[in-house]
Amino acid sequence: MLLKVTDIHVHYGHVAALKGISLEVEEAGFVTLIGSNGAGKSTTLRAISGLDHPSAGVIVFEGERIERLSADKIVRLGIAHVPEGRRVFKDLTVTENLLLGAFTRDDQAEIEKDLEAVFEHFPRLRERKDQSARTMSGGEQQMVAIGRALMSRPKLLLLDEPSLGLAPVIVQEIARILVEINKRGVSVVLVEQNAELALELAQHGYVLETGNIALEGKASGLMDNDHVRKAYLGI
Amino acid sequence: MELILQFIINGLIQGGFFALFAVGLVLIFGVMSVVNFAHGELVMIGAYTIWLLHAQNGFGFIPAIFVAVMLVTIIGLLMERFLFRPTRDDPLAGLICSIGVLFILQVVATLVGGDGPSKQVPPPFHGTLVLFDFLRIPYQRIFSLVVSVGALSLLWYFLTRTKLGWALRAVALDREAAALQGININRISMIAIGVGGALAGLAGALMAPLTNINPHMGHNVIITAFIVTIVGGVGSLSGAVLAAVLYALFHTFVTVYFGGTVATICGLILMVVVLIVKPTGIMGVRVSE
Repeated sequence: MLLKVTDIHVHYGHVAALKGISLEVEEAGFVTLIGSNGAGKSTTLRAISGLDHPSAGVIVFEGERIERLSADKIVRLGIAHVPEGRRVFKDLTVTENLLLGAFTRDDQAEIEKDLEAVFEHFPRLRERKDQSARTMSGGEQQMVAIGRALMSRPKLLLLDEPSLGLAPVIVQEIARILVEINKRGVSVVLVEQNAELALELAQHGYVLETGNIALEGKASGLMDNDHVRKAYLGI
Repeated sequence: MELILQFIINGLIQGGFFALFAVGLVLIFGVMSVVNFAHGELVMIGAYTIWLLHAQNGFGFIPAIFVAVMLVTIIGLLMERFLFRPTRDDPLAGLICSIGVLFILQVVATLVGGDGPSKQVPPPFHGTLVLFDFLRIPYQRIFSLVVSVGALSLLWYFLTRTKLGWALRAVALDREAAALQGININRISMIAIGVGGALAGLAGALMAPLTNINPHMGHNVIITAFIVTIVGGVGSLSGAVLAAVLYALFHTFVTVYFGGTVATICGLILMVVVLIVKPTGIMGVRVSE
């Protein structure tokens, strides 16, 4: 198992955001967390990447406990987090943003290669590589955020609502690229409000409700589940 | 015409000093979200070092500048490690700590130099460059201008052309997103305050032969730095440099006709007007989207 999260609790002040979440991600697995606003999806990702620290519970990545490590150390182990709202560095150019994604690496030649690979994935970014990220559309910023995460050569990619506020065409493009990334052996944890899309892409799904896992199972199975269909797919 | 040219030259030289300490204040605020009220005292310590080593003990001027820069850098690093880092989650605590440092450094300066009249450092560079028969620029001031411009150019190169410089700007823009790229925030904070401290020490050292040195000279420095930072746009380094030069020209001009006190009052009025009319400053960008 690449990542194993066991019974984590996260508190913001006195408010419990996570009340015992457990989940697993296999090598090259594609997992999605679905659920409504405030269910704890983002917090789960933040706990894995070290932005928030659980008050209880264990997170093991490649056999190493990481729940107490700071975010900058966790990146070095091979976990990249594309945060909610994209959070690109707006005053920096596209290339500078992407190269900062490789901040932990020293292998100059390989970094150049990966930069080229990101431009292959997102040809639009190549056209705009010297433009500041501020001047780009939401979809393009999302591409920068994903590209930046890939530049660290992650084994595990965490994505928080990559489709939010984007046009359907762009959402499809990003979905296609996520599948491609996953096919090349990178494990993915996708947090989405768009449950239909998420369950289509993922192999395994978890349904979060008020800080707990309400349901889990094969993505195809969840798609047929009555509760999921009513509550999240609107069918 | 001749007078105006002379104003411009003097204003540019003054602007170099202003930019050196204002840029440091902006860097520290950007990366650490701390308003360093002791920044003026860092400049003062730089000037005192020159007085003590060069004027009192016969050290060479240039080696004394290096010592001043090193000393103030170290003070800055200590402030980061022992004051700003532990209080990072509470910007108000950092600010109050910096005010504490302000008073401590003033007392230290008084202990070292006594509380008598202001100290003077005889300019180590003699002579005056005369251009077109009417422009008179003392070599001391030319030296200061060249060094200020050189230091600011190095800083610009660092911030725009090196990966560590990008990382520093990234932390200033979004600390969490920067941490997610593997950037160690503590290390970047130390670099920011180290660079800010070095520039403040350099400003103090360069100003030493051109100003009155006393434990309270940091007062004018911090007021100027605030005016420049706010007019330039909080968080904008290029705005701070531009505002430093513009404000220096303005200050020089008003000082000649109405005196330094009136010039500073005008500067503060300017700052208040900018805060009310265009709080983002001349180069600042809106924080919310």
